[in-house]
Amino acid sequence: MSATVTPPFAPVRGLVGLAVGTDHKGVALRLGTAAFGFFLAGGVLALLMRAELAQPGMQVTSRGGYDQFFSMHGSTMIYLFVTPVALALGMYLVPLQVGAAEIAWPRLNLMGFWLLVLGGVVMWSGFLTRNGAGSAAWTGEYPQSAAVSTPGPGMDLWCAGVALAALAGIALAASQLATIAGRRAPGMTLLRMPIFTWSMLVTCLMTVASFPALVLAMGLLLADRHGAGVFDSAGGPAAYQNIFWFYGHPVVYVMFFPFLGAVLEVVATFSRRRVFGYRAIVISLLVFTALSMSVWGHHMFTTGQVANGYFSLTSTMLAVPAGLEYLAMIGTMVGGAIVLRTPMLFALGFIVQFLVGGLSGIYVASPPLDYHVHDSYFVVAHFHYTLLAGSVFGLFAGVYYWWPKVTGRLLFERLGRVHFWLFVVGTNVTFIPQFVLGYDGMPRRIADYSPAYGWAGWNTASTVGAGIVALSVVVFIVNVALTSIAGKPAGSDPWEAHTLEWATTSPPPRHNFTAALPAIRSNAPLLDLREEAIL
Amino acid sequence: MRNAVPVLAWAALLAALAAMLALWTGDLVAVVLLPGAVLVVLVVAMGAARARDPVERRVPDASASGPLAAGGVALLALGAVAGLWAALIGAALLVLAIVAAVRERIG
Repeated sequence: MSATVTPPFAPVRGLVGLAVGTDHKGVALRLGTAAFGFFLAGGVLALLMRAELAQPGMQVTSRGGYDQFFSMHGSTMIYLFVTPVALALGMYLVPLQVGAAEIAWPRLNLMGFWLLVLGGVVMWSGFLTRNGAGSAAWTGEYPQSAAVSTPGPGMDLWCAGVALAALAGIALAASQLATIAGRRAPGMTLLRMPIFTWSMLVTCLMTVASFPALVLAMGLLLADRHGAGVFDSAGGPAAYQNIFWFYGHPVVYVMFFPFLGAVLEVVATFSRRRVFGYRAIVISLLVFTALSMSVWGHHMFTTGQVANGYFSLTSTMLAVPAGLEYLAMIGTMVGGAIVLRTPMLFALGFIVQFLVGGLSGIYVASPPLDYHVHDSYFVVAHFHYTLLAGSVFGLFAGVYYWWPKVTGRLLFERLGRVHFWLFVVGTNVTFIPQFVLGYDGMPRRIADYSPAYGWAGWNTASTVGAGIVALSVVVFIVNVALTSIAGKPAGSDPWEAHTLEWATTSPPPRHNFTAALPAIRSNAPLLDLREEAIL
Repeated sequence: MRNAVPVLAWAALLAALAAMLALWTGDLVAVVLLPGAVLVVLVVAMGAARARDPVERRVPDASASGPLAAGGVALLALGAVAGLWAALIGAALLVLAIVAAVRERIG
């Protein structure tokens, strides 16, 4: 352990403990559970949208209702699910992986959790207001989000909720950065940190550097809606877009790198090999994240208000560090003794499926091609391949991998495989048709279309796929429920893993480690121990 | 100081990209965003350089200050929708949060 810790208070249990307990593991579990609840709520909105679009005509809701559904679906998934669940993963694991007894700045960390929950409640309370919830997309597109276009308190609540969620992200990231900087165990140098911790380091750097822009955008938008006229000049909408997308593109990587780190850990463990090209990955993470801070303008190619050449160049350059990371994942597997357990299946799913999102990203990084598919279903398919069909595979890889550490029980393998294959089939049946629809000209954010366009068949297929995704999530929930009743005890290290969190009990005690830590000579101290024992 | 090396390297990369963008376009909003981020990252680097692990510290198992502060900030934000009363209650909660944090640290 890195320090002697003297807790001044007795542990608080029960509901009060849930509200005020500062243990990073407990807060991470509460944050993850809240985020999963928001995922289910956002998923219901997605199913309602897909039901509406399955056939031409209005069957489920009104056009105004549909606007609220897609706006709140995107907002919920990005602000309230993927970003917080990524930070929750880091909150649980980073202190354990660096050998710390506690997270740094635990009060700030707890405040971040509550800000996120309150932000979600505020955002969703818009549905109870006269004009309904925010309906200007997850981006708060200006002038659609101006008071004259979207009157009523629902949009104001959306702005306030988003600002709170952004502040939550900053608070959570700051405490993880402080943990990495100041709480590492003796011997845990920066270049001995596990690759997941490195991925959280760069994620948190991006968060503290870009999320303030979102707080600023929401503050200015609220002021604009209350008569300050911030964005109602000729250049106002472009100024709003610049500030928003300065947050809006880095957040894509905030929702990617933690899961890339998780997948690299899973791939190394289940290939029985060290992470291939560790130092190259660290450098590529730093370069990738820096580049990703300077690509936001590619969301504005068609406005004619940004330097298309610069943003096209930086966006295309992302392919280089991304390629290095793919090389590392594949290189780790080459020559390894691969064990195809559920976490590894999801990791492989991540590698393949994210590639589709990444390659279609290179396509839209080119302005002439982007002009053709801008604001079409092609873009919807692209970013869902990066987020749902990509990052969420990485999330489930991490969930199946670390579940035994967190709960002390192994999730059922057979149900895990059913979950995996349903998720593979569901995501592809949902989003491949959307590439076709987008290329064929179907705009995003429409509630209806003419039967004459011939889009009904692809839309029906996409809706069936969404149903399969929902079924896969039900299987996961059943697995969690059954495991909590009759799951097999996991022991401290069921996978023969490499990193320090597996050197303690499952679940870990309040201050993480009760015995002395093993000597830390590399980024895989437990593998070092096993190799020394063989020699 | 070693802690700050990756953060400083990252800030240098951002600064180089900011300089490139400034040469490419004259749009003020676009040009000030990246340097703003560089400043934030430099503050993080300063914090990382000074970070140390104290031999002994007080880590509370429970803290009312975090939830109180979050409630205060949320009500301040809601002030824009609900009116001044919400903002005032939010400010009061923030004061309570600070008092709670100080009491927790004193023990």
